[in-house]
Amino acid sequence: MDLSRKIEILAESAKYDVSCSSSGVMNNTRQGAIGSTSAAGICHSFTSDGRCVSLLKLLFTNACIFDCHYCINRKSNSIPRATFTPQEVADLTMDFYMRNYIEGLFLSSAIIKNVDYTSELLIKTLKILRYEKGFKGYIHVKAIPGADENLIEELGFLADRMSVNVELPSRESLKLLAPDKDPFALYKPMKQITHKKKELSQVPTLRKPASFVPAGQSTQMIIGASPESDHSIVKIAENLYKQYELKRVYYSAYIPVNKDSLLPAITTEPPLLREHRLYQADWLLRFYHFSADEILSENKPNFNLYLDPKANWAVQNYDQFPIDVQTASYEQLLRIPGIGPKSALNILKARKYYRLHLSDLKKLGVVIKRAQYFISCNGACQPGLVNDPEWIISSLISSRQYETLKKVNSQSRQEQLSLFDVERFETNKRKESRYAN
Amino acid sequence: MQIEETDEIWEYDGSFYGFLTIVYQAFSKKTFPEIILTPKTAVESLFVSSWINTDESLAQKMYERLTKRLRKENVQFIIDGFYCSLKEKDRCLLDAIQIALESKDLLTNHLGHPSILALEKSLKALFGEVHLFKGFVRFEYIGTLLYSSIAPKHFSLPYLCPHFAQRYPQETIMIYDETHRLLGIIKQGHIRFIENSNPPPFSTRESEQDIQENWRTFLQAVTIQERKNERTQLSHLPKRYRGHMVDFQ
Repeated sequence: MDLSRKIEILAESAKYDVSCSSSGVMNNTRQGAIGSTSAAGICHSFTSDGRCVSLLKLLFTNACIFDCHYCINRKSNSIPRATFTPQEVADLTMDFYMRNYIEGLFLSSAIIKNVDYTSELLIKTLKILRYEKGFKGYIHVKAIPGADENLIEELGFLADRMSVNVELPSRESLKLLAPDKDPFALYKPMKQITHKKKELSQVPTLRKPASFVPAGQSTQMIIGASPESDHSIVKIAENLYKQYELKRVYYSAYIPVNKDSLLPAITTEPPLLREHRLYQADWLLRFYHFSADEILSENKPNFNLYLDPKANWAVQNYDQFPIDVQTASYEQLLRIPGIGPKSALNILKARKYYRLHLSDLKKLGVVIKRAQYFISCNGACQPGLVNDPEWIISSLISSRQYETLKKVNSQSRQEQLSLFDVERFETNKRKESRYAN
Repeated sequence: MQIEETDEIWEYDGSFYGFLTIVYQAFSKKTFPEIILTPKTAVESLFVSSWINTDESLAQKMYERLTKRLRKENVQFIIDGFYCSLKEKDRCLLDAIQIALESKDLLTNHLGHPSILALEKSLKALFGEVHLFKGFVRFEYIGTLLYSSIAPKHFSLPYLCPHFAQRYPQETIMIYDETHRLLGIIKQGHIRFIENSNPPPFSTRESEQDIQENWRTFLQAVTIQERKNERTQLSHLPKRYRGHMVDFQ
């Protein structure tokens, strides 16, 4: 089989893995003659689905011995199979890297023969890159669950980031849809990597210790293949960030690739809006000092599809607003819809020497159309502000936005969190549109 | 320092030394002009300006004084500010220097001042473009030389070269900036520039086309059709970058 056909098959098989970041390596201490890493990560291209291409994302092989129901590479599927050689992957990576097509390599693999053999193939590939080619660039590699601890550790010293995909948020779903996978084996390498990183950070050394997974680890969960609520997914993500110190949790809207009675029908649209809301919640956890239970709760377990989680929280806690931007703390500023970490920082800088006015906020990067309902400045609010959460909700959503959201909402009505009377809201919207032009 | 704001209009040749001469004039006379023009911007102006001759020795003196008096981050801010694309940058930079002389703080913390905010925004646009180019530059081998051409909006090339010098420390690299007719040459990590240069007459080789074809195959393979969203692609990767990328050829 020629190389371009292999690329076609094995990139195609790897495309459902979301992770593509090349960030997180602050000071690259690896030995080598070619390549560098950027702390902020660099995107090298964008495909027409709007996703970034930063790494050469490949499966080493797609000939899998497992039969996970949701996976395109399950052994019972009749799809073209291919396997790279370690040398091929290394050469291709260097060819693309020298021309600045990519920031590094993302190497995953189906399970070929057994987990240890698969891990050894990955190690062999990485060794060629690091030692023969002198490659100092970014490498993200999969830790194969169930593989020997020594192999995982060896991979960890060769790679910049490692990941183990949780895939399904609960043990029951895993048992049902991925019968070959052991839920305990999934978390074992995660724990091992976390412990090893901690252990190495505590060793007092005169020289810098060898880089062990310097960009940390990440994981991925499939959204919409199993019945878990948004609340349980956000809770798991929060746990992963706290317990295992993960750098990223990715969410992947399930795209039906297999006909299976246990899964959504092949014609089902992927729940992209739900995935989007989960990413918004994920950002709230990581950069906005929110906790999972503030975002959703047991009795309201799913996202409001009409409002983003932050605006949703603000409307439900309207007694805490309006917040005065001249005197509020950084944490308080972060809670205002329309203000992010950067604009909050800008506000802190600007108000140090100058008295702010509401009109200055736009220049500092605040999204006024969202923030205006929640802020005051030196005691002054936006003129005409009505102190009624329901009015704010309808102001936050334009009727066009509402129509768009209705179209992309691929979930059933029962799954939605009803924050306000949807029936009444829709009637009002219809009434309004009657008078439009 | 008390500075008088006048309604004068000054003009200089647009060089960095010329700008430093302006700084010397403004601070020695203790007057700031209302508008500072260069031959490029003077075309659009209806008013008569007074020409300030560039004096290299004065400029050199001014530069030493500034590096001595200001903290190094602020000196860097002023140098970067001079290379950004803001139209009124020269006038804003005078304000910036005045603030930097009076305050020990970072200039970027004075965002409340309109001149600093305008400069900061323009710098953000410049560095934003530099960051995007770090990913969107596409090299091809011409013999053993890596060559690429770009058409940036801002003066990005000098900020871009150190990144590639560090990334490919053993290679010889050429990057040609079509907009500013500037050729950057990186030889084993050492950077040089040739101004007002013509594009080098290189043509793509056969072996390069195979690798480019493999890259396009890869991009096609990792696209998920069910998630098609060209608007997002457009916002992340605007069309002005695509002409020089093999991904879209």
